[in-house]
Amino acid sequence: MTQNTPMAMEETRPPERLLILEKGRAERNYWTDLWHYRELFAILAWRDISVRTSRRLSDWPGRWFVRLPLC
Amino acid sequence: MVRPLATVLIFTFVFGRLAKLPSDGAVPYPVLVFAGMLPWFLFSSVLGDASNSLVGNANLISKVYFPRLIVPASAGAVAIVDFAINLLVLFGLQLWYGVWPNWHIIFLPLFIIFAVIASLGPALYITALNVKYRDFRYIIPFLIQFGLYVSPVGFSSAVVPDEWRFWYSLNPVVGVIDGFRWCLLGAESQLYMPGFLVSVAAATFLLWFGVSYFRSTERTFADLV
Repeated sequence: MTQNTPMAMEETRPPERLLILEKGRAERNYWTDLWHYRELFAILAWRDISVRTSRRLSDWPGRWFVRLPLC
Repeated sequence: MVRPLATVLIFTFVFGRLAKLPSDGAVPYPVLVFAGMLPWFLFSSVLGDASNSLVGNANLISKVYFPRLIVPASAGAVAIVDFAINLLVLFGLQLWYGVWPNWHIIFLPLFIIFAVIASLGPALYITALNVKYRDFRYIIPFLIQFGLYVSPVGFSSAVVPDEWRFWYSLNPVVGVIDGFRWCLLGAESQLYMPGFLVSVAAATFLLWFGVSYFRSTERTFADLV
Protein backbone atom coordinates (compact mmCIF):
# COMPACT_ATOMS: atom_id res chain seq x y z
CA MET A 1 0.00 0.00 0.00
CA THR A 2 2.75 2.38 0.83
CA GLN A 3 4.16 1.89 -2.65
CA ASN A 4 1.71 4.32 -4.21
CA THR A 5 2.24 7.18 -1.82
CA PRO A 6 4.32 10.04 -3.20
CA MET A 7 6.95 9.43 -0.53
CA ALA A 8 7.72 5.95 -1.82
CA MET A 9 7.85 7.12 -5.43
CA GLU A 10 10.38 9.72 -4.43
CA GLU A 11 12.61 7.07 -2.89
CA THR A 12 12.65 4.76 -5.92
CA ARG A 13 13.83 7.51 -8.25
CA PRO A 14 17.58 8.13 -8.18
CA PRO A 15 18.38 11.59 -6.87
CA GLU A 16 18.92 14.07 -9.68
CA ARG A 17 21.69 15.88 -7.90
CA LEU A 18 22.99 15.75 -4.37
CA LEU A 19 23.75 19.13 -2.91
CA ILE A 20 26.64 18.74 -0.50
CA LEU A 21 27.88 21.76 1.36
CA GLU A 22 31.50 21.59 2.42
CA LYS A 23 34.52 23.80 2.31
CA GLY A 24 36.20 24.15 -1.07
CA ARG A 25 33.61 22.08 -2.89
CA ALA A 26 32.26 24.92 -5.05
CA GLU A 27 35.79 25.72 -6.21
CA ARG A 28 36.64 22.13 -7.11
CA ASN A 29 33.42 21.49 -9.02
CA TYR A 30 33.29 24.89 -10.68
CA TRP A 31 33.08 23.80 -14.31
CA THR A 32 30.70 20.88 -13.70
CA ASP A 33 28.48 23.25 -11.72
CA LEU A 34 28.58 25.65 -14.62
CA TRP A 35 27.44 22.90 -16.96
CA HIS A 36 24.75 21.86 -14.50
CA TYR A 37 23.24 25.35 -14.50
CA ARG A 38 23.16 25.59 -18.30
CA GLU A 39 19.38 25.92 -18.32
CA LEU A 40 19.63 29.05 -16.22
CA PHE A 41 21.98 30.40 -18.88
CA ALA A 42 19.36 29.76 -21.57
CA ILE A 43 16.57 31.26 -19.47
CA LEU A 44 18.52 34.45 -18.74
CA ALA A 45 19.52 34.84 -22.38
CA TRP A 46 16.01 34.15 -23.64
CA ARG A 47 14.51 36.63 -21.18
CA ASP A 48 16.75 39.43 -22.46
CA ILE A 49 16.22 38.53 -26.11
CA SER A 50 12.43 38.35 -25.81
CA VAL A 51 12.21 41.62 -23.90
CA ARG A 52 14.30 43.38 -26.50
CA THR A 53 12.56 41.99 -29.57
CA SER A 54 9.06 42.58 -28.22
CA ARG A 55 9.98 46.15 -27.38
CA ARG A 56 11.44 46.66 -30.82
CA LEU A 57 8.51 45.13 -32.67
CA SER A 58 5.88 46.98 -30.64
CA ASP A 59 7.55 50.26 -31.49
CA TRP A 60 8.52 49.51 -35.05
CA PRO A 61 10.74 51.82 -36.47
CA GLY A 62 10.63 54.34 -33.69
CA ARG A 63 7.00 55.39 -33.85
CA TRP A 64 7.47 57.34 -30.63
CA PHE A 65 9.84 59.60 -32.49
CA VAL A 66 7.11 60.66 -34.90
CA ARG A 67 4.19 60.49 -32.50
CA LEU A 68 5.74 62.47 -29.67
CA PRO A 69 5.86 65.88 -31.41
CA LEU A 70 2.37 65.36 -32.82
CA CYS A 71 0.65 64.71 -29.50
CA MET B 1 19.80 47.98 -37.45
CA VAL B 2 19.75 51.74 -37.85
CA ARG B 3 22.73 52.27 -35.58
CA PRO B 4 25.31 50.23 -37.57
CA LEU B 5 24.07 51.61 -40.88
CA ALA B 6 24.31 55.19 -39.63
CA THR B 7 27.80 54.54 -38.26
CA VAL B 8 28.88 52.99 -41.56
CA LEU B 9 27.56 56.03 -43.40
CA ILE B 10 29.51 58.44 -41.19
CA PHE B 11 32.70 56.38 -41.25
CA THR B 12 32.55 56.00 -45.02
CA PHE B 13 32.18 59.74 -45.36
CA VAL B 14 34.86 60.72 -42.84
CA PHE B 15 37.51 58.05 -43.48
CA GLY B 16 36.73 57.14 -47.07
CA ARG B 17 35.80 60.49 -48.60
CA LEU B 18 37.36 63.18 -46.44
CA ALA B 19 40.52 61.41 -45.28
CA LYS B 20 40.69 59.37 -48.54
CA LEU B 21 42.07 56.26 -46.83
CA PRO B 22 42.57 53.29 -49.16
CA SER B 23 40.26 50.29 -48.98
CA ASP B 24 41.38 46.64 -49.15
CA GLY B 25 41.94 46.24 -52.89
CA ALA B 26 38.80 47.09 -54.82
CA VAL B 27 36.33 46.54 -51.98
CA PRO B 28 33.80 49.40 -51.74
CA TYR B 29 34.44 51.42 -48.59
CA PRO B 30 30.98 50.89 -46.98
CA VAL B 31 31.40 47.11 -47.21
CA LEU B 32 34.86 47.36 -45.67
CA VAL B 33 33.52 49.44 -42.80
CA PHE B 34 30.51 47.20 -42.22
CA ALA B 35 32.67 44.06 -42.14
CA GLY B 36 34.72 45.73 -39.41
CA MET B 37 31.69 47.16 -37.65
CA LEU B 38 30.11 43.72 -37.30
CA PRO B 39 32.64 42.21 -34.86
CA TRP B 40 33.09 45.58 -33.19
CA PHE B 41 29.38 45.76 -32.34
CA LEU B 42 29.58 42.23 -30.97
CA PHE B 43 32.54 43.23 -28.83
CA SER B 44 31.04 46.45 -27.56
CA SER B 45 27.62 45.00 -26.76
CA VAL B 46 29.15 42.05 -24.89
CA LEU B 47 31.28 44.52 -22.94
CA GLY B 48 28.40 46.90 -22.25
CA ASP B 49 25.71 44.33 -21.45
CA ALA B 50 27.88 41.95 -19.45
CA SER B 51 29.32 44.68 -17.28
CA ASN B 52 25.86 45.73 -16.13
CA SER B 53 24.43 42.22 -15.97
CA LEU B 54 25.47 41.37 -12.42
CA VAL B 55 24.23 44.66 -11.03
CA GLY B 56 21.02 44.29 -13.03
CA ASN B 57 20.40 40.78 -11.68
CA ALA B 58 21.25 41.75 -8.11
CA ASN B 59 17.99 40.24 -6.81
CA LEU B 60 18.85 36.84 -8.19
CA ILE B 61 22.47 36.89 -7.08
CA SER B 62 21.83 37.91 -3.51
CA LYS B 63 19.27 35.12 -2.98
CA VAL B 64 20.52 31.85 -4.50
CA TYR B 65 23.82 30.21 -5.27
CA PHE B 66 24.83 29.44 -8.83
CA PRO B 67 28.08 30.02 -10.73
CA ARG B 68 27.98 33.75 -11.37
CA LEU B 69 29.77 33.31 -14.68
CA ILE B 70 26.40 32.39 -16.17
CA VAL B 71 25.04 35.93 -15.92
CA PRO B 72 27.64 37.79 -18.00
CA ALA B 73 27.90 34.81 -20.37
CA SER B 74 24.18 35.03 -21.10
CA ALA B 75 24.68 38.69 -22.02
CA GLY B 76 27.14 37.38 -24.58
CA ALA B 77 24.48 35.08 -26.03
CA VAL B 78 22.14 38.04 -26.46
CA ALA B 79 24.83 39.93 -28.34
CA ILE B 80 25.20 37.01 -30.76
CA VAL B 81 21.53 37.33 -31.74
CA ASP B 82 22.06 40.99 -32.64
CA PHE B 83 25.20 39.96 -34.46
CA ALA B 84 23.24 37.48 -36.59
CA ILE B 85 20.81 40.20 -37.64
CA ASN B 86 23.68 42.52 -38.58
CA LEU B 87 25.30 39.71 -40.54
CA LEU B 88 22.17 39.50 -42.70
CA VAL B 89 22.40 43.26 -43.30
CA LEU B 90 26.02 42.84 -44.35
CA PHE B 91 25.07 40.12 -46.82
CA GLY B 92 22.46 42.49 -48.23
CA LEU B 93 25.08 45.20 -48.57
CA GLN B 94 27.48 42.78 -50.28
CA LEU B 95 24.73 41.75 -52.65
CA TRP B 96 24.11 45.40 -53.46
CA TYR B 97 27.78 46.15 -54.16
CA GLY B 98 28.46 42.77 -55.76
CA VAL B 99 31.27 41.77 -53.38
CA TRP B 100 31.30 38.00 -53.18
CA PRO B 101 33.03 36.06 -50.45
CA ASN B 102 35.24 33.20 -51.65
CA TRP B 103 35.96 29.86 -49.95
CA HIS B 104 37.39 31.72 -46.94
CA ILE B 105 33.83 32.08 -45.68
CA ILE B 106 33.87 28.52 -44.31
CA PHE B 107 36.13 29.84 -41.53
CA LEU B 108 33.52 32.39 -40.44
CA PRO B 109 32.18 30.27 -37.52
CA LEU B 110 35.72 29.98 -36.17
CA PHE B 111 36.14 33.74 -36.31
CA ILE B 112 32.79 34.25 -34.59
CA ILE B 113 34.02 32.03 -31.74
CA PHE B 114 37.26 34.00 -31.70
CA ALA B 115 35.28 37.25 -31.50
CA VAL B 116 33.27 35.93 -28.54
CA ILE B 117 36.46 34.78 -26.76
CA ALA B 118 38.13 38.12 -27.41
CA SER B 119 35.16 40.01 -25.97
CA LEU B 120 34.43 37.74 -23.00
CA GLY B 121 37.89 38.16 -21.49
CA PRO B 122 37.82 41.93 -20.99
CA ALA B 123 34.06 41.78 -20.33
CA LEU B 124 34.45 39.39 -17.38
CA TYR B 125 37.23 41.49 -15.90
CA ILE B 126 35.20 44.68 -16.18
CA THR B 127 32.06 42.93 -14.88
CA ALA B 128 33.88 41.85 -11.74
CA LEU B 129 35.34 45.33 -11.29
CA ASN B 130 31.95 46.92 -11.85
CA VAL B 131 30.46 45.03 -8.90
CA LYS B 132 33.14 46.19 -6.53
CA TYR B 133 33.76 49.68 -7.83
CA ARG B 134 30.34 50.79 -8.92
CA ASP B 135 31.57 54.01 -10.51
CA PHE B 136 33.26 51.90 -13.15
CA ARG B 137 30.12 51.95 -15.24
CA TYR B 138 30.76 55.58 -16.10
CA ILE B 139 34.09 54.59 -17.61
CA ILE B 140 32.73 51.76 -19.79
CA PRO B 141 31.06 53.93 -22.49
CA PHE B 142 34.28 55.93 -22.68
CA LEU B 143 36.33 52.75 -23.07
CA ILE B 144 34.01 51.52 -25.82
CA GLN B 145 34.23 54.79 -27.70
CA PHE B 146 38.00 54.84 -27.29
CA GLY B 147 38.24 51.27 -28.57
CA LEU B 148 36.21 52.11 -31.66
CA TYR B 149 38.95 54.45 -32.87
CA VAL B 150 41.86 52.31 -31.68
CA SER B 151 40.54 49.31 -33.60
CA PRO B 152 40.53 49.25 -37.39
CA VAL B 153 36.76 49.66 -37.76
CA GLY B 154 36.65 52.74 -39.96
CA PHE B 155 39.82 51.94 -41.88
CA SER B 156 41.75 48.94 -43.17
CA SER B 157 44.52 47.74 -40.85
CA ALA B 158 46.79 47.74 -43.92
CA VAL B 159 46.95 51.53 -43.41
CA VAL B 160 48.97 51.01 -40.23
CA PRO B 161 52.74 51.31 -40.93
CA ASP B 162 54.44 47.93 -41.20
CA GLU B 163 56.80 48.44 -38.26
CA TRP B 164 53.86 49.10 -35.88
CA ARG B 165 51.55 46.49 -37.24
CA PHE B 166 52.82 43.66 -35.09
CA TRP B 167 52.40 45.66 -31.87
CA TYR B 168 49.11 47.09 -33.06
CA SER B 169 47.80 43.50 -33.17
CA LEU B 170 48.21 43.20 -29.40
CA ASN B 171 44.71 44.63 -29.41
CA PRO B 172 42.75 41.38 -29.94
CA VAL B 173 39.98 43.23 -31.78
CA VAL B 174 42.47 43.97 -34.57
CA GLY B 175 42.85 40.25 -35.23
CA VAL B 176 39.10 39.70 -35.03
CA ILE B 177 38.31 42.45 -37.52
CA ASP B 178 41.09 41.42 -39.91
CA GLY B 179 39.85 37.85 -39.76
CA PHE B 180 36.29 38.88 -40.52
CA ARG B 181 37.39 40.94 -43.50
CA TRP B 182 39.53 38.06 -44.74
CA CYS B 183 36.51 35.73 -44.49
CA LEU B 184 33.89 37.97 -45.96
CA LEU B 185 35.48 40.21 -48.54
CA GLY B 186 36.85 37.59 -50.89
CA ALA B 187 40.39 37.63 -52.24
CA GLU B 188 40.82 41.40 -51.88
CA SER B 189 41.55 41.28 -48.15
CA GLN B 190 44.86 39.84 -46.95
CA LEU B 191 45.43 38.35 -43.52
CA TYR B 192 48.66 39.50 -41.81
CA MET B 193 49.55 36.22 -40.14
CA PRO B 194 52.06 37.19 -37.38
CA GLY B 195 49.72 39.95 -36.22
CA PHE B 196 46.78 37.61 -36.26
CA LEU B 197 48.59 35.05 -34.11
CA VAL B 198 49.53 37.80 -31.65
CA SER B 199 45.85 38.78 -31.46
CA VAL B 200 44.84 35.17 -30.78
CA ALA B 201 47.45 34.94 -28.03
CA ALA B 202 46.33 38.26 -26.52
CA ALA B 203 42.68 37.21 -26.61
CA THR B 204 43.44 33.86 -24.96
CA PHE B 205 45.49 35.54 -22.26
CA LEU B 206 42.74 38.08 -21.61
CA LEU B 207 40.15 35.30 -21.37
CA TRP B 208 42.27 33.41 -18.86
CA PHE B 209 42.92 36.60 -16.92
CA GLY B 210 39.25 37.65 -16.99
CA VAL B 211 37.97 34.24 -15.89
CA SER B 212 40.50 33.89 -13.09
CA TYR B 213 39.86 37.40 -11.78
CA PHE B 214 36.13 36.79 -11.99
CA ARG B 215 36.44 33.52 -10.09
CA SER B 216 38.62 34.99 -7.39
CA THR B 217 36.17 37.80 -6.68
CA GLU B 218 32.99 35.82 -7.34
CA ARG B 219 32.47 34.78 -3.72
CA THR B 220 32.07 38.35 -2.59
CA PHE B 221 29.52 39.36 -5.26
CA ALA B 222 26.46 38.51 -3.18
CA ASP B 223 27.66 40.78 -0.38
CA LEU B 224 28.65 43.66 -2.61
CA VAL B 225 25.99 43.79 -5.26
